[in-house]
Order: sequence, then structure tokens, then C-alpha cells
Amino acid sequence: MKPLLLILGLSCWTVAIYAQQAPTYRGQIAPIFYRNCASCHHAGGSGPFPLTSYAQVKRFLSVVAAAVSKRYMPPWLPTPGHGAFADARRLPDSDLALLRRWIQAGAPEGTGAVPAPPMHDAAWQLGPPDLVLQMDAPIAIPADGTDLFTNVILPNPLQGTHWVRAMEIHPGTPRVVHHANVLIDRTASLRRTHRDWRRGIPGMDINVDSGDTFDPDSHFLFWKPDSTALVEPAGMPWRLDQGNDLVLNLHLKPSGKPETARAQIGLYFTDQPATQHPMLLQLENDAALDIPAGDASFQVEDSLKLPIAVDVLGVYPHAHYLGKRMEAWAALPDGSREDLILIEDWDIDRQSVYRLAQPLPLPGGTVLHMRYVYDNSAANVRNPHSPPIRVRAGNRSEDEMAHFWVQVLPRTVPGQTELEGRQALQRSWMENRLAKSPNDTLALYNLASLDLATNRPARAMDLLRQLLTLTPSDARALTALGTALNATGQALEAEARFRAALAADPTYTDAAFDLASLDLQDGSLTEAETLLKTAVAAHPGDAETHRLLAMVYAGQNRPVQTLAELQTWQALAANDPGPHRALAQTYAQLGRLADAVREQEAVVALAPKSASDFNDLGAMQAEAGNAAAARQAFSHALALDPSLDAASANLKKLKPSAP
Amino acid sequence: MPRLALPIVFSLCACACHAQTQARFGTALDGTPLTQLAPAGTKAVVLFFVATECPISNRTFPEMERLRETFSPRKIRFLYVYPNAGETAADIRAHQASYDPQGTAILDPDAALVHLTHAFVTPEAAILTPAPRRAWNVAYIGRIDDRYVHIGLQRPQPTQLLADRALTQFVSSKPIAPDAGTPIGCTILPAHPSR
Repeated sequence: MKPLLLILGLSCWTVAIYAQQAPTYRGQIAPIFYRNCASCHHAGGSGPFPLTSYAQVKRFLSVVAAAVSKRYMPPWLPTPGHGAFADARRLPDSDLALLRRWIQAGAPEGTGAVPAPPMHDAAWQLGPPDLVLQMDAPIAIPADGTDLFTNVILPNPLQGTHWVRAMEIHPGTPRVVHHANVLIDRTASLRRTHRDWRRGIPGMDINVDSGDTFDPDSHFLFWKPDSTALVEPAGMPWRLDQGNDLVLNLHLKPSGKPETARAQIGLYFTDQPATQHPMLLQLENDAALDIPAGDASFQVEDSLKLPIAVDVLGVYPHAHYLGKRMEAWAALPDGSREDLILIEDWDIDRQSVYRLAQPLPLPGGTVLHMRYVYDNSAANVRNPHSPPIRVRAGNRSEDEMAHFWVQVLPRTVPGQTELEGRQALQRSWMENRLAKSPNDTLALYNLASLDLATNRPARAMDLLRQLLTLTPSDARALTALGTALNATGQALEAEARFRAALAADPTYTDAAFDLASLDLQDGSLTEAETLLKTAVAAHPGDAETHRLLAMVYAGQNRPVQTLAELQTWQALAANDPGPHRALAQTYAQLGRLADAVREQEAVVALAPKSASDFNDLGAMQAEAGNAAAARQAFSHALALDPSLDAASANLKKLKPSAP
Repeated sequence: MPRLALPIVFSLCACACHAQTQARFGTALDGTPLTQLAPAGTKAVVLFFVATECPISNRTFPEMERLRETFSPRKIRFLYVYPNAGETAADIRAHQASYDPQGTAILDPDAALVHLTHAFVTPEAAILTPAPRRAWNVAYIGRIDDRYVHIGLQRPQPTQLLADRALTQFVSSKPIAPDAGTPIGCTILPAHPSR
């Protein structure tokens, strides 16, 4: 019996070893490909060949083996253990070991049922979008040459403001669109500065003008071939206003034959406005980028102290072809360190936004750090220059960049509004820029804007005067200086700056608006009307301009024109009680009491805690002969604010109600 | 007896091999066996080993097309060889129409050209010159350019146009420098890998 037992035992051992050493496609391997590869490598997908059947995998096994063993695929750059990210694509070590054993065993197909491959189709993942923006015409990608970087503008055709809860990009020709960033151009600045924008604007990176109001970028809108629909966290949709442009920043790769790509952006709206407002901060040190030819280890650093506590939601490291090693971390006030990311072999072709698996809370006083290393030697295969040349910062692919973006959610302290928290972050960021580059025009302007917004016009004037020594014909800086001067009571000086701004750029409607505001104050209504008509023609969707023009017409005693402008203002600002209030008062002055009451009812619907508006409603109802309704409105006003004397007096004036 | 047997066996093998090499250089897309690669008077034949679904091969087509257009007038014939099992004539016609409509494509169902040149990946270039005792002499086999360093690592643009250099040397009657590097691409998987 002993020999028999021995043989059986050996047999089992052999089977066990065989099972461990020879995984099969049908057994353990197909699910690995389905999980890690098939999202791109399916028929019609962005991968160059499908990997959803044994025959396909076997056909490209040599390529797959090389790509996987070097961790080129699946594309994932962060080094494990330095930041915890959602949707990590790194192939688990256990899967890699299994694949290696399978390949060494001759890549057997095995027996049994083939696990069902995942289904992929070209439809929108979240169903039909609420809005699809499509490029006017396809982009032509030549068969050969270096990669193509272009920016396509997609104007938003909708009226009013919409909140976007999710976005999906259909690249049109998946295999040539390598990645895309969507920028929101709040002021249509690229269309203004590029007359032939319909042909696409070249550039790996591009800057848009975010306008004069404090409205920092808030979301990473990044797409790569394995991206799913980009669904924003609850409470954090992003705002799309009338007149905004979406700018599709595209990285296109020649495939060897002439190609075209016509991308679409699908947007999904929500009727719930944002309740939380994340913000993008940037560490950068482009000013330090002056990389000598041949330097294989050129290092730049930056740091940014957080003035308030934040939750870090995501990061986006960015360099061009010379970037080699990137790391970013947070140094907390207690001396501890939280790694944000480490990339030891940067590859722009596999760049990504990295969303944290969980928000990372950082207390105020934390210092964010970045350290990037560049290789401008001939040994860097990705070096776009052969032989290497000196490289500085710039937007072209052959230039370099040292950017590290962080998406944070400000945590306000008691007594601080969310806006104040965001302004504090913006101030730290801009002061950091200015410390590195004293002539940084963006930082000078943004700091001045913050000072104006926080009622520090004197300091704003200093910054703007410094800015104007650098760019004396900058219409926006001249206008901002005029605003600061006006805020300090220097109206004549302000007027001179507004006129100088218009002389520098007659199309700069902000200067026209501000000059018209001054005209309105001193009664120069004819010039104000001319200026505002010009502004309205340029920006028909600007509610404030219509409001001001209505005031001009009211001053000229032109009720028809006044009402028309107020109605336009109201249509553009649907949730603002202001235009309804102005309409109600205008109708009341014209004796159209029913219209006045209707508009004032709209006011109190939008401002239900405004005692004075209920008082005004009561007055209009009383004037219209509806004493009962008026009594109710006055009483409601007094319930909201018992100290409102006007309501008390109005209530007494009413005849006693019938018993 | 053993001494006698051995030469006979050797002789049979030599005859068989010789006959096969003379008879076939792959097939045209319509299945017609090719008994010659080029008409008499051709100075050289360039074979580009390619595949319909190989992204590295596809990415190299513009350079292959440029070489064809540049050197064809010099009595050099260019052929795109699709050596992999499973390639169909219809797929190849469509592929060729997209990547180089003027190029001539052939199949290599018996791996005759793979064995002649020792090509092992797509893309790869072979320069064949007429040889007095054999049909063709392999004067060059290797990379077309050095864009790809390994799978997953490529240059923004090639720094060496290796097939161009070899052809330039050939038409200048200079010795052709061999390719010192390793071709990068998709492994050739012929229907009949061994003969």
C-alpha cells in the first residue's frame, strides 16, 4: 500500500504545481485582460488592436508581454505608496506574476467555457446627454510627423446658467486622440484673440482669460482613452454660463495614414446648483526653467503655504517631454508629511489627472511642495531636440513646463464665508507667483482684483500702477485702476483711466460700462446710452449692462425702452429679484398696478425673507384696491421685521377690515 | 552502406529545398504564386514586412512610402509583405489603400520570404540583390528607422533613417552597413513557422 499512496501523493502534488504554474486563458488570464485592457483594446476602441479573445491576445502576445512587463501598459505612472488614488490602473503584482507564468508556459488557451468579455459600444455611457457640442469640422491629422497639439473652441449655445454634473467626450477617432483637456473660457477670450479660431489654435497648453470677476477654475475636466464619463461628486457640479466657450485641448497622434477626428462633448445637467465649490491651485516654477543642453538632471521646486484648511480632491502633474521625475507632498504644521504623488519615469503620453481615493484633509499652515527633475540630454529618448538645445518654459510641445495642479475644497472656519476662504487661497497662490516673478502680470492683476473685491482700493492702486509700468496700454488694468480710483472718491481720475482704456481698446466693454456708470452719476445720459448700446451689441447676454441701460432710459423718461431693457435683464437673471423689483416700480409709476403687483409677487417669491419687499407689495396691492391682500402683506412684513416702521404706518392707513 | 545512404539523403533534401526556393516568393493577393520577385534588370528588391493591425508597422508606413517613391526610379522594386497567418486579401487591399495605395502588397503564406530574410517582426525592411548562384542575396535586414526604442518607448521623431541609409549606400555602390539595433514591432506569426 505504501508505494500506491506515494504515487497518488506525487500525482496530486504534480497537479497542484501544474495548476499553479500553468494558468490558462480560459481559466485565469481572460479576466485579467477584460479588467485591465479591454476598456481600450476592444473593436472600435482607442487601443491599436482588440484584446478580447484568445486569438487576439495570442496574435499580439509578444507586444503585450513587453508592454506589460515594463509596466508601459496599463498606463499608470504613479509609484505605489505615494498617494492613494481612485481608479488606479496599475496592474496588480499578482496579475503580472500570473501573466508571466502563463506566457512562460506557452500561453495555453485551456479548456472550459470562455468567460464572457465585457461589452463596449459607442453610445453615451450615461444615456443621451442634455447637450452635445460637436466640432464644426473634423481636424485633419497628417499620416506622419510629430504629435499634434491643437485647441478647438466649442461655443455654448444655451441661454442662462446650467450646472454640469457629468461630462463625456467622444473623440470621433479614438485611436488618434491621445488625451484631451476641457477648459472653460468664461469670457470667450480665445475667440476674441484668434480670428481664425475655427481652424483650431495650435499649442500644447493654452491660457484663457477668466475675466474680471473672482471666478477661479474649479474642476479638472481631463479625458484620456480609458476615461469613463466624468461624473462630479454630489454637490459639486460645474457652472456653464451663457456665452462661455468650452475649449477642447487635444493631443493627437499620427497613425501612419491620413486621419480626421471630430470630437463631441456630451454634457449632463442638474437643476441643483453647486453647494460646494472646489478650487484649483497651482504650484509652478516656469521662471526657473532654463535647462542647459545636455543637462540630465535639472531640478526645479516650488512650495505654497495654505492659509486655510482644505481637503485635497485630486492632483494633475504636468511637464512636457524632458520631464523625468516628479514628486509632490504636503508638509503639515505638526512636522508630518503626506505624499501627494511620485512619478519616477514621467511620460507625457500617459499623463493623467489623479483623483484621490479619499479627500485628504490638510490643516491651515500646511506647505505644499513640488520637485521636478528634467533630462535634457541626448540619452533622453523623448527629447524633441536632437542634438539637445537649451530649453525654456513655453506652451509649445518643444518647450517645457513645471506645473502641479491641486484641486482643493476649502474648509472655512467660523466667521469666514466660503468666498473669503477661496479668496485667501487665491491670494496665497498669487503672492507665491509674485515672490518668484516680481513682474508677473497675472499675479499683479489678480492680487489687485482681490484687493478691490475686499475693499482695499489703495493697495489695488499700487499693484495696478506697477502693472501699468509693464503694460501701459492694458485696457483691463487701466479700467481696474479707474475702478480703484472711483472707490476712493477720485471720480475725475477714474474717468480719465476709463477713457484711456477705451482709447487703447475701443472694444473693451468693461471700460465702456464703467464710464457709463460714471456718466449716469453725473447725468451725462447721452454718452452713457451710446456706450451701453455698444456694450449690449458686443455682449447681448450681459444682464448688468441691460440693467444700467434701463436706468439710463428711466433717467431720460423713456418708459417703453426702460421696460424693454428691464424685461431683458429679467430674462437673463431668472433667479434675481432685482429686475422684478425694478419692473414693479416702473409699472407702478406708469399706473399699471396689476403688472406692478405681479412683478412684486415675483420679488417676494424669490426673496421670501425680505420685509421691505412685502411692504412694497402691500403698498402696490393697496393702490390697486386690494386691501385684504395688502393687509396680509404688511402683516407678513412686520412678522419678518417688527421694527419696519413703514409697514406699521401702512397697516394703520388701511381701513379696518369688515367684521 | 551508411556512407552511401548519407549522401543520398542529403541530396534529396538539397533538391527539395532548391526547388521550393526557386518556385515561390509568396503569392499575389489573388493567390497566384510568385515565381519571381522582380523582372530581369531589377537592381534590387526591397521587402517591407508589415501587418494590418500592428500599430508600429502602421506608424512606419509614411517612411516606407517615401522610400518607395524615392528609390523606385532607380530600378529598385518595392513590395509590402504581409507574412502573418490570418491576413486576408480583402483586409490587405483595404489596409494598403489607406496607407500606401501605390504600393504592391503580397502574402507570404509559406513563410518563404520570412525564411529567406530572417525577418521576425513587423515592420522590418529587407534589401535583396540579385545573386549569381542564388535567386537573391539579402544585403540588408533590419529596422526602417529608430523611432521605437522598445515597446512603450519611442522618440518624437526618428534620429536615424536606417533603410534610407542602406538604400543610399546601395545605389552609391557602397557597402551597406548592417543594422546594429534590434527591430521593434509585432512578432511575425506565419501560418507555417517551420519548414
